[in-house]
Amino acid sequence: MVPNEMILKGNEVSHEKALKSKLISKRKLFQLPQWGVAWLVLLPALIFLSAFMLYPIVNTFLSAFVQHYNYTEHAGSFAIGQFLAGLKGGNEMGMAFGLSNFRNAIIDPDFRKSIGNTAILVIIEVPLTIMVSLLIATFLNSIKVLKGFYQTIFFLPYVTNTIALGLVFNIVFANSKGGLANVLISKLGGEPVNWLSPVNHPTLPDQPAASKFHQGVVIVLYALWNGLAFKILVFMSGLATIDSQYYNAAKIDGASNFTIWRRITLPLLSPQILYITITSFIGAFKMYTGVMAVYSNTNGYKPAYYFGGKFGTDWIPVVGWIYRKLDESKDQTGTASAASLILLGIIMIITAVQFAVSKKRVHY
Amino acid sequence: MDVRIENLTKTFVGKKGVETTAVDKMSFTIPDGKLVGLLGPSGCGKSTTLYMIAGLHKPTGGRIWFGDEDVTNVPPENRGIGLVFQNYALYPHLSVRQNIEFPLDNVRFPGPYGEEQNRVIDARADERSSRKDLEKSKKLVEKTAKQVEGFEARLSVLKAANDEEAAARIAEKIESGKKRIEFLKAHIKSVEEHIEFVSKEVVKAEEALEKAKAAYEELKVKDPEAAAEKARTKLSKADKDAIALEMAKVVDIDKFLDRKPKELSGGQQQRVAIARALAKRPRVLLLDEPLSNLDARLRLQTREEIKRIQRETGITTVFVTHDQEEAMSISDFIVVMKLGVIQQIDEPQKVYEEPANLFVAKFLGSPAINVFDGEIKGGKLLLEGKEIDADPKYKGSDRSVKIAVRPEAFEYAAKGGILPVKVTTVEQIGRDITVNGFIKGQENHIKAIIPSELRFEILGKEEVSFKAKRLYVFEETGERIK
Repeated sequence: MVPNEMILKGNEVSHEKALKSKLISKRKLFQLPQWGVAWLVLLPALIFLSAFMLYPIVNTFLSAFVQHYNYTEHAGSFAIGQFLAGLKGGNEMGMAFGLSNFRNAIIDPDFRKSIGNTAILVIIEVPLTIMVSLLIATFLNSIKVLKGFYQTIFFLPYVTNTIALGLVFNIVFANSKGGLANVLISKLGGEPVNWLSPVNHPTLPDQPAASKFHQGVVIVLYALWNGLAFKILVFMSGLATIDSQYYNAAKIDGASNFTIWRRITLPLLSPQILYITITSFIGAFKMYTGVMAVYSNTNGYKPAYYFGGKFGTDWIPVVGWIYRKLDESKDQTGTASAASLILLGIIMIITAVQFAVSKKRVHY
Repeated sequence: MDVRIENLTKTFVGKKGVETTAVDKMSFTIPDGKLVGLLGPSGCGKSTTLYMIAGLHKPTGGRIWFGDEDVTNVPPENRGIGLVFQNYALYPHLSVRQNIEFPLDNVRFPGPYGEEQNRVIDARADERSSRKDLEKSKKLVEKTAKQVEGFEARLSVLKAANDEEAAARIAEKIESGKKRIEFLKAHIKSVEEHIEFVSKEVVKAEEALEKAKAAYEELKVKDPEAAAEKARTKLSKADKDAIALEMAKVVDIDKFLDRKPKELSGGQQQRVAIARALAKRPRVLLLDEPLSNLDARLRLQTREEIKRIQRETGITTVFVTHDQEEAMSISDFIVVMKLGVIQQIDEPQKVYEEPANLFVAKFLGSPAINVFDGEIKGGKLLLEGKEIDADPKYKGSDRSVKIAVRPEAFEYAAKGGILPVKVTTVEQIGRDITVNGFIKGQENHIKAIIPSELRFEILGKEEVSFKAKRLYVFEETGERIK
């Protein structure tokens, strides 16, 4: 707006003065270019990402490849700093570059067990969850009455806390006669089962400690329950983008409902299926809270590191093994880091395979 | 295969129970092998009619016949139709060949003894349902008999108490109850007879099935090839490919069989859609606004293609359009529709030259027909008070009417013309001249098209006089006075 003094006789305005006043009012100490503003706005997020994601990754890489890497709390947490400090201080640990951390990890029987456990969980849980959520999404898409109501019900697990969910599963599969699952089984004519506990409950004195199979059933069911909601959401949004004319055309072409599902719906849904498959596999390999959350009777072990059985290692997943190693002592950091890198390698290979397969099967 | 629709009605019920009648008791017959256009403005119910013929919409009333078969309740996949959607609806993830073969993939044959099997199944189902019917009827008889007993007891009580009215009422109820029992007993008898007949049918059908199975076994030994032929339930890949190639050649798309739809132009995609619709050799081919997605040049080309394909295959074809030029150029018959009601069905030239009402006259023809307000007085036709025509058909009371003249029906008259026109502009487009003007006293402006040789006489004149080679007169309600 032009200040009043600028208006001369009548409505004449001095354009020169107006221009000058504009420059004065907008002048700053310095004027940031467009890209400068962009960086400024991104900076907070970049700082956080660097501090909590990038930096630990660098640390991990470094500590994995350094033998006898000793992480001492008081010397700050820069791995490079540790390394150099250690070297300067005479290197009585014998730190040096090498692959002994990897060797330590691989020769540990618990580590191999954890890889096996994780593999079993991944192979069972991921395809199962994807197929179930695909079916549910298809059914949800085709019901007309009370659609919103059912959608809400199926989405509830997503807004529930993971640990809370685990506690509920723990109670449902409690190893007493009164646990919900056991009651159901007895009503159907079976025998109550010790699902999760390594020791016996007073109401089931004769039952042996929970077998790996039974624990596995609970873990898979829990992971299924937890994972359904988000996948259903993604599939439903994908189904909504399919033009209904395709269904009409297919009906006129004489296709049965199953044929339509198999030859029209699924191929047109393949981008979403690919996305869900890749992210589910990656997530399943990193499974930790899902296994830990269902156990309550931890037999004297720390709850965060208990995974079933007498020693807490029945269903230990790779991430669980890594946490345990870190908890053991600070000089195992190198081994734990090495194990993380092994896990990274496995995930990358699986993902690459999935991408290669997707080239032929996914239609955009 | 001729298509006949009878009193076809479709009402949609919107929110708050508001009913919209899209199609209102339409009846017409499409003769076998003809190309028929459903023409009308938006919202006249033409697409709805097409979809009801296809089977995607269920009619609220009326029937549809394909030849001798009543297909009103037959699902779309069993009617033997091919439908080309307005946006083609080609499956984007399949190649052109796979798109055309898709309907063929779903074809199933009954197999070596499938028909006999179906007969057995049908007969058994019939028997079962008849027996259920019998049970139900018997129970109903018992119940009614008990009721009647109760009523009779009441009756005697009432008679003892001398209550005439109630007694009469009860007597009525007893009568109707007894009638009901008679009727049910007759029904039971007929059902029992039917069950006897059907159970014999079941036995016969089962025997026929055994025979067919045995014959098939023999055939397998004697002539394994023929047996394999008979046992086929699906089309073989070679068959499907052959049919797809043939269809592709008919629509001239055989060079693109391995492309995906998104790699084709609009006109090519449409031809693929037509090929897919024709793959199963349907009895009726339906096209929903086939040319509306194409550009002007392609439109001319493609409508020739459609006419050619229809002539070559001889399939009864129905298409929907709002473009009157398109309908006029390729149809054998035009069905003009407005708000769900048929206005006129006739050959294109007849609809153009002999419109049944004012709506049809205004809808066909480009530029649109010129309409004037006139009157009939004393058996003569008057425009702005001046008599322009006399004919016995102008009988009846004096009333105002609409007079309509097509642009090309104006004839320049140096003098003695009946229509004095004040000229506003003259457009010269090479082939002819368009004179825009108005008749004094009339609201509507007129367009007159006259040969370009006459431009020297027209140019510069403010007022020009025309004769009408042909004029139409319509009542205020719209029907034509013939």
